[in-house]
Amino acid sequence: MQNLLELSGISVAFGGIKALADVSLAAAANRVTAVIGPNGAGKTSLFNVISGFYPADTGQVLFAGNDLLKSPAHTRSAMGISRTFQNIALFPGMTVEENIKLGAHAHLRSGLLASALYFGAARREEQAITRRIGETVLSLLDLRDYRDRSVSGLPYGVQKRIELARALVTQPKLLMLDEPFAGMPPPEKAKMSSYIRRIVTETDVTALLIDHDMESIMSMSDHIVVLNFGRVIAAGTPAEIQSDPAVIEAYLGGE
Amino acid sequence: MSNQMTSTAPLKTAGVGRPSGNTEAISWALLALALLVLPYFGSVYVVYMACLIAINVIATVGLNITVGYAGLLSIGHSAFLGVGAYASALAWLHLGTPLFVNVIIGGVAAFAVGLVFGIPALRIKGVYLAIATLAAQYSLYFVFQQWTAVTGGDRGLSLPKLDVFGLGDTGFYYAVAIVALVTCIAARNLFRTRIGRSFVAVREKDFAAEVLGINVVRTKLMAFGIGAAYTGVAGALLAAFLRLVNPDQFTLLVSVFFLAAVVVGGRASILGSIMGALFMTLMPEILRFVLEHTAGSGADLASLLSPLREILFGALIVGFLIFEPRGLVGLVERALGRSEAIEARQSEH
Amino acid sequence: MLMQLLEFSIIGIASGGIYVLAALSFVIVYKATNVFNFATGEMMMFGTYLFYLVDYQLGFGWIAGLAAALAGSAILAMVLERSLMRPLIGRPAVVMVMVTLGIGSIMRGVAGLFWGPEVRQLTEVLPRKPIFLGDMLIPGKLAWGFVIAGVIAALFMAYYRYSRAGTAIRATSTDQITAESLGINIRAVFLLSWGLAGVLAAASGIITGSVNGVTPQLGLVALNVLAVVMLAGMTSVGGVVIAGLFVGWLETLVGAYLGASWQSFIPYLVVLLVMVIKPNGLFGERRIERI
Repeated sequence: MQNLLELSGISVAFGGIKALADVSLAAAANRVTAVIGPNGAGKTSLFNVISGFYPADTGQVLFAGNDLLKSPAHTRSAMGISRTFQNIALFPGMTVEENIKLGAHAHLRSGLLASALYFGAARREEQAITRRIGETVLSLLDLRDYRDRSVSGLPYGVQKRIELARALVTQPKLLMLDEPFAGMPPPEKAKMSSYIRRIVTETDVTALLIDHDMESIMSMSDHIVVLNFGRVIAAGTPAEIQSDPAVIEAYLGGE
Repeated sequence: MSNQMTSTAPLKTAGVGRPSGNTEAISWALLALALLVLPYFGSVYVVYMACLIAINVIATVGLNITVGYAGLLSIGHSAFLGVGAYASALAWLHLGTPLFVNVIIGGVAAFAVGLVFGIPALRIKGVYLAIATLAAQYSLYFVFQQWTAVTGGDRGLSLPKLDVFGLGDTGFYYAVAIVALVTCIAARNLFRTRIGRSFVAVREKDFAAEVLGINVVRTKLMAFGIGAAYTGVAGALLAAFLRLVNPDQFTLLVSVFFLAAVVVGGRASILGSIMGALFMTLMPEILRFVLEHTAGSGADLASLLSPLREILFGALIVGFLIFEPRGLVGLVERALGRSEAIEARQSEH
Repeated sequence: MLMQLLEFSIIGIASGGIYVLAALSFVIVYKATNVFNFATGEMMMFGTYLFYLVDYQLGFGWIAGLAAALAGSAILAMVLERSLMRPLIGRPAVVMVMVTLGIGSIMRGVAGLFWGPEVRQLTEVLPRKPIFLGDMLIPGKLAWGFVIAGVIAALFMAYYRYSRAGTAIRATSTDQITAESLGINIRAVFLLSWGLAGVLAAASGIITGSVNGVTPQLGLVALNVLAVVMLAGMTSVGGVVIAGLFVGWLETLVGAYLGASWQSFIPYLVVLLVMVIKPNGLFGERRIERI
């Protein structure tokens, strides 16, 4: 089993606060790996290091053999990594379709002149991407009805799916989801669970999730890593994690 | 913040794009037609004002691309107007090139200068760009004023009369109208495609834009450069229009004028830019008219006009930003009953 | 030769005192409310005109003039904060800055309407008699202006460091949410910081006006102060002092050796150089944005 993403010895400190301390984990290809832990355990910081927003003080991040820490944040997309954000980072000033099209930004080619002219190459490209989005993610995630609506004002669960759609349009190898279940009622969580599983099964996408909803994670992850106070305290299959005493203590002791 | 409306009614907005493609194409065609026949129905004064308005539209669209769409605050924008004006004037005086070539030279020169000031500033945070543009304003003023050998110093450059298309003044009007139409449509098209979307993305959430593969610094530079280029084009046309180029045409007050045009008309909107430029160009004329009829004789009009303009421009900026952030475009849409569209799209404006 | 350089240097540092006050005004507003107040220069100008009005035009004397100027500026600043800036909280920074730009424009226009564009001289509060340091001649007004600016700056910094209000401002500037949860009334902090900014700006303006007279354009010199603020880094109160004196020094030297027009250009050159070489200023912190 190949590891698509490998972190070794990652440490990040902000001033006096250690957000991550010597974190190592691996995400196996075409599997769902989840990082869980109580609030403040450092999960989002971990994502931000992988995304290139936070510099790591020590350690290495290898993605398909490449050292990620050496590359600037905006190259992640071209490398095949896409991500969603905890607080939903959709662009309120644009429609659902435009937001999703932005997922394809790295693939689209129209330059300044072609765009200014529009009729010709740019128009063809726009029509092609519109069609592709319609045929793939809009159907996959049941977003057809929302296509031309403005993003702001849509229900939370729908916005989360739009963000997922946008992340998928980049045709990533690694899909990083930051709290995909947050703020959802159980039926929606189940739907999101099945969407994610479907994506991983039907394509060769690898999923790396963060969440602190134990139930949802347990039911759909292949491998789980548990963080607490910036450290890895356990890693293994859902069954192993459920019976791990350190994990039980962290969760019972914490919340 | 913005996400308060949970509307279930279908909101047919179009975000960066606007009303349906066909309506828009027809509107542009109608506008072109109106511009074409204007000289036959309007007096010399009307054609004169139309030229001025069109020039201001081009500059406003440029500033709107930078400030409205990409969210970068540019305060010293009139400096780029100056760069375009001087560059094109010098090309004409020393190389004898035709109008359209001079206009392109003006645009390219402004673009280059824009990059010079933009590159250091955009690597850091937003406010720094504002300061860099102020630095641009004053440094370029310094250059315009001091480099007497080239720019003519305080006296500036004077240009001979142009004869475009063999139609004299009307010919010049047509040239300006064509350039204005082309630049507006080009800007409009830009925001139908990936580049335009990336500007908006960078404005609204630059970290998310990075994740999507957008090089934020390069995108901001492009937005800043294009904005400067458009303004340079306007400057080139202005030089030919006024037949005079001197440093006092490119002051902070002029920069504030264009900022007001963007804010009043509507940020992130080409239609807004047109409306804003129209409003702001006519405003001082109306002001002067009102003054002449109310202040009576003996009042020193000239000394009143300048401070009144400063108050007016400032008040327009503050007033619209606080009370009607979507500008005149917002007012129009509201009047047309598309209020759901506005609130839904309030976003972070 | 060296004596001349030294003389110019001292004059330069003295004139830098004005910059220090104006820069402190910028920084306190920026730290507390995250707004870059482009109307700071106009607040300087307004305070100076108030002084002129009460002291000279209404004839109440310079003490009354001073009181009116400082109080009036503080009040105006607080009114501006409460009525114009407060409703804009949550809007992007670009909007806030544009509003301050608009406010500045309005204030310039109002001053132009009331007092016209001519230079008005302020009453001679600062002793004009030059100070002799050995063979060097330092203009009296500049020297005294520097001393006064120094005193005000020191008072302000002591207040900022040691008083409860100052601590509240510092807490708010670090993290608004945490400050509020600790029971700090951040709206009061906003008001206070603008009020202080108004006082600092007025003081700076009056000193400037005492040396050069006052016109509606007086505030434009504050744009030079941007160079100071950038040099110091937006967030460093202490760095501002050093940067302010440095820019004053540099400006005077450039003016003396290269001429007046270079003098007005220099601050912007400094700004650009700082941006290229040390983007966070010499003393500023590198802020990592928490996403």
